[in-house]
Amino acid sequence: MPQQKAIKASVTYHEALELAQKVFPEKDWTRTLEPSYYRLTGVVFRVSSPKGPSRRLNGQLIRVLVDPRTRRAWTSDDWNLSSEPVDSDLVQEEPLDDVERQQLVKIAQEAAYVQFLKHYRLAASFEFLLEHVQEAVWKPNWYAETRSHRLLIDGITGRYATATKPTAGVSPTSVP
Amino acid sequence: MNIAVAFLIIYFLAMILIGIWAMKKSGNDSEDFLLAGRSLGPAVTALRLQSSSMSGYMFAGAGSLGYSSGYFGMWYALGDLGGGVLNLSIIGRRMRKLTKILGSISSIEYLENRYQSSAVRMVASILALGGLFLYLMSQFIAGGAGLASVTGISFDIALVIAVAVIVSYTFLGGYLAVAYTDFVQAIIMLIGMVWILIATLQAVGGLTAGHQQIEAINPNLLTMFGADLEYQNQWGLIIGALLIFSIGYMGWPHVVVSHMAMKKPSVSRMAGVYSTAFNLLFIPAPYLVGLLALIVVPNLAAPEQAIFEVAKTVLPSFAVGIVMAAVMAAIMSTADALLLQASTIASRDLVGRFFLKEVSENTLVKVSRITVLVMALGGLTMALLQPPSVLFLATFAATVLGAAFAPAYICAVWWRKANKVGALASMLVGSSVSVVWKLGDLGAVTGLDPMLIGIVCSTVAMIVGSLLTQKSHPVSAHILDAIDSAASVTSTRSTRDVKEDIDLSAQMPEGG
Repeated sequence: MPQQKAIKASVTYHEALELAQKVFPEKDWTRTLEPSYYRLTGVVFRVSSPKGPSRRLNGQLIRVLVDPRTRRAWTSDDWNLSSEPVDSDLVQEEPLDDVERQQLVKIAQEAAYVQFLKHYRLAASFEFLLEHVQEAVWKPNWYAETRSHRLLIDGITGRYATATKPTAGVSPTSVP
Repeated sequence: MNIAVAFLIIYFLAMILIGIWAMKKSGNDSEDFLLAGRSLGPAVTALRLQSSSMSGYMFAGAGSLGYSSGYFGMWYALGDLGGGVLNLSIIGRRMRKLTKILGSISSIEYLENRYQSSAVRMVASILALGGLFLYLMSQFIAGGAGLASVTGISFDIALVIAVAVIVSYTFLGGYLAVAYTDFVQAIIMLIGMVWILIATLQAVGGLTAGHQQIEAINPNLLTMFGADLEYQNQWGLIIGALLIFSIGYMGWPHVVVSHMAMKKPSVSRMAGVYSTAFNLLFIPAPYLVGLLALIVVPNLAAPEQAIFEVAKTVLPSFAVGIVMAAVMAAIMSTADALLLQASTIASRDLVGRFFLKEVSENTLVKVSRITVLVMALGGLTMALLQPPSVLFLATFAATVLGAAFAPAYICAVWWRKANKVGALASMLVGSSVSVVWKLGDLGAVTGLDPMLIGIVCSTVAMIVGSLLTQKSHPVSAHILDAIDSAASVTSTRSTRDVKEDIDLSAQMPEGG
């Protein structure tokens, strides 16, 4: 498997640790804070818009990230990939089949189309030419568990999500 | 050219210049549009919701209702007062969450995703296009009537100009929308309406003096039961009038789409507050001005001109131009939303979804443009041949859309058992019953308003259809989970300025 690279994390281990301790001050950690990567698919289009109000974007690239699990998509800046490869144990990429790949491209195309139309409305004349599909763009997160909860900290935004664990019973550790 | 027209032209030119300036200011960086998305805060959400739903009806239809039926119109106003907050509190937060979970971009696509049925999308698209067309016509006519009144040109020419302005605005909306949003239009509408109300009250010597003069004309107008007390004890009709802009509001595809653009679900709470404040200031005014117009401009042949005629009488010329700008702001923000919603439905929800699977962006845009032009020309032709009243069209469209869609949108987030059979039955029964009731004037015979009977039948159809087919068409576990997630109240846990993000939960490692 080729080396996998992730988007550069904006939230450091220490920042995530500080946040984890604030979210769950009880400290009954059963799993220490560790990196976790979430797979997105990146789709790049080139704008073809030789005339009309959107012509200033002719030839520019539009990047769209698609979440294959939730089917959500959003346009983004250039993916700021880290120079260091990700630990291969943390990322397991299963290749996309053709149908799945086409569906993700379609979702990305719709997301880009909607954004374009929102801005240029019906005066715009444009097409998106598919440039490239990057099957896995790994998004960095931080993950930890307490006796009763799971905690995920977004490695880009610093926001967090919690979930209740279905069963308890693992011995706590002293620090995350 | 009179001063009012000059002010109106200055207003339009200012809009275009601000739009072009904003576009140039954004430079060549594509980031400004790439970073758009679900980003509206509470004030913008509320006022956008209100400006898209408060339309030319408020200036033409509501004024005419006040002029001809007195305080009976306040039943509509009462429903409308609570419409915004009901809409936001009943479906706002949950719909925002559910659309995000299901990845829906348009309000019709959302119905397909929630009810997991392409037939739902097909039927919803066709019904929505019909309802939107009717509502659009009312905007055209209101625009034409307003322009004709202020400028003195004939209605036909004014109508053509109004339609041309609205269609151009829709095509070039991208330029203008950058700086001149529905939010700003709502503010202008509010200023215009409050100004004309104050000037009218001053002209008639205050509200009490106004009431005394109306009493001399016809004391029944001061009751809430019509000029001839024809609505006394007609609670079936009165409840319908209350429902049309309250519950019915929740079925308008071009309005509920605002929920999907909220920055976060909790925005709906504050938006409800702003929305109510806006409504309190804005909604009763046109009905009241319409009533007082009986004193200021008696014996009007066309009651829909009431507010425009009052404006010309009680306001200085330049202010008439500003009020007219407010009218056009109301019309354009609604018509623009209607046309874009209709074009999205035609291109994405019908053509792109059912007829052309491999369709380029250019084709979709062309379909959108053709839809806008066909609707505009169709509406223009019908309005020129035999213009119906703005009041009739607006209430007809609101009734059909409300009866067809309100139960479908409400049950989508509140009732786990609501399935595709129920949704289809609800939309078809609600729309057919309300159309037959309205066109057959069965309200006069039965004492039941088309909105009331339509929404009752639609709701019954949803309940019966869903319950009878739970085994053959069960709601999938995926949708049930999504509804539960949408129903859950967002945790209030926060650490300094870092808030819990429920959408991030989807990224939890499996088996962690």
